Amino acid sequence: MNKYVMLTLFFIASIISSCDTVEEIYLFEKKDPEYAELLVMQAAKCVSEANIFDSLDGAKDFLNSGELNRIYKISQDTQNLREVFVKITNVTATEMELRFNSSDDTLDKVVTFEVADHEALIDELKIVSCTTEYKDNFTASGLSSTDKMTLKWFKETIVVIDDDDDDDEPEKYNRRTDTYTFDNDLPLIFFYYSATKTSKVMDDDSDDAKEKTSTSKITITDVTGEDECNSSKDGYNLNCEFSLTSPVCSVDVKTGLYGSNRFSDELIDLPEANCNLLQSANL
Amino acid sequence: MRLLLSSTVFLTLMTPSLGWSKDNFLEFGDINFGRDFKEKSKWLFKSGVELINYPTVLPEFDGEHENIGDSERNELNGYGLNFGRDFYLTNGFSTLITVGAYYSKTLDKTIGKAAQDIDLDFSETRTAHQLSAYEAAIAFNYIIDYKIVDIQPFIEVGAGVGTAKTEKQYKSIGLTSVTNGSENYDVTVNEDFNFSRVSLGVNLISYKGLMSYLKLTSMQISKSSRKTEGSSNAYQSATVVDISSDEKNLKESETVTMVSIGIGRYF
Repeated sequence: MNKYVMLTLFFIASIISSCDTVEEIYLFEKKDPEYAELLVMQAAKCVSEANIFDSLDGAKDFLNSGELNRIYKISQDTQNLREVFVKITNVTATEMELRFNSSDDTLDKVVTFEVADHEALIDELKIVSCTTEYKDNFTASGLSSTDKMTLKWFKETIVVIDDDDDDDEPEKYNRRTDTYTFDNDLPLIFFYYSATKTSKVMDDDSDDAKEKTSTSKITITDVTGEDECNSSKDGYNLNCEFSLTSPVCSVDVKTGLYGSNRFSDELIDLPEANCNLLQSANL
Repeated sequence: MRLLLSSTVFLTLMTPSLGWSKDNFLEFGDINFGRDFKEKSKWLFKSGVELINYPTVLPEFDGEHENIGDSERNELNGYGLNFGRDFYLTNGFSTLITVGAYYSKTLDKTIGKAAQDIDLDFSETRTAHQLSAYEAAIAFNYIIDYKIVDIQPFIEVGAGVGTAKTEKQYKSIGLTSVTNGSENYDVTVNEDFNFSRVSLGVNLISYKGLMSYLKLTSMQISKSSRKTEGSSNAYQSATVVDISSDEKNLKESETVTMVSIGIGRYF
């Protein structure tokens, strides 16, 4: 029996000894003049290899998107603190109209989402997902998928800097990670309503202080044909009547936020008066 | 790395026959190779790991991130199998006649990342070796009788033929601002060779005829033909150059070293 053990050991050792070798070396350094160009090349390669961008780009054909008259429900947090219903009431080759209806009147609005906004959003997404120098603020996953991708945006406010207590951590801070899902099955603007925001706060600089963590979640679901918008259901008029005509809001895709980790920054804004985006709760 | 791995193999093979015998580990007993069997002629089958420092000849290439010389030494790991008969002479002397084969296939890859914090494969060098050889050998042995294990130093001479195949590929994508900045080198070299060798080594033989061996070899390789197929595209050149050649009746001779370790069985 033991000789078989020895032969097995010999066999395993033989295989190990002949393993193929793979080595990685670095050809350039940050100080080299080629460095900036290499960053651009890396970003271009990342974008070209990411299937999700092609997939999302294909969704800008609003007319054939099948979204007209679809109704979605936006739920805030697990406790459903607020619910917003939104219907795509008009679609053309260049824009779609979305009517928001909620028991919270401040969230009622008509939003015009243009193909140009869709394209601008993808352009921003490409930059923040694929540019190495922004990776401290943004992390993308699912780039090879054709269905959906996730973008994490790290935000931070340092209240009291590190007092050199060897932990390399500020003494007081607010940190938040905003996680957005860009789903090819939904109008791209709905990324804002597929979000999880996790906040970590250190507001006490004593030695035994602990970080406080809280999470806010916004989800969006397709309710077309489901009970929520069945005309016989109680509350139908409250939730699923989309006859409002104002305020009319346009979408402003924010650009140049790549280096930002400010809490107030978002990828989109509705700049007109009374056009409020649903804010995350519990943060 | 390979040296470390080879050392691991060596320790794996040698330790049982020296240190763990009293526990009958791996069937190396307290009683050494049986005298009746020792003084008779017997068959032997052995197998081992072999590390050879093989000389490779490739067309020269002076790239931005890889220089390929016309003559390089490459460490190849392979496996050897030998079968033969040990003829007992007298007073512990014996001679062993074997036939054997050696086969090696290795792949080394070097990926040139743009920079430490830029995840971009800028260049890649891939070197693949495949070497096979067949030989006949004769060894002269003297067995030293110890209680735990018999030690058998030997000197061995052999000769044989072999073939070697080397594939070398290098590519660099180049900076986009540089016209024709990409590079490419893709060459396959097939060589035929004859060899003769002399080896010094030692066998450690257990009671039941199970043995381990360590062998150092100096090998004289005479390459008789070389066929090179491939092309290259130099930095800032739009021209792909064919660097194929077919050399026959070569008279290149090189001395290479080889280290072998393994196990075997007398029966």
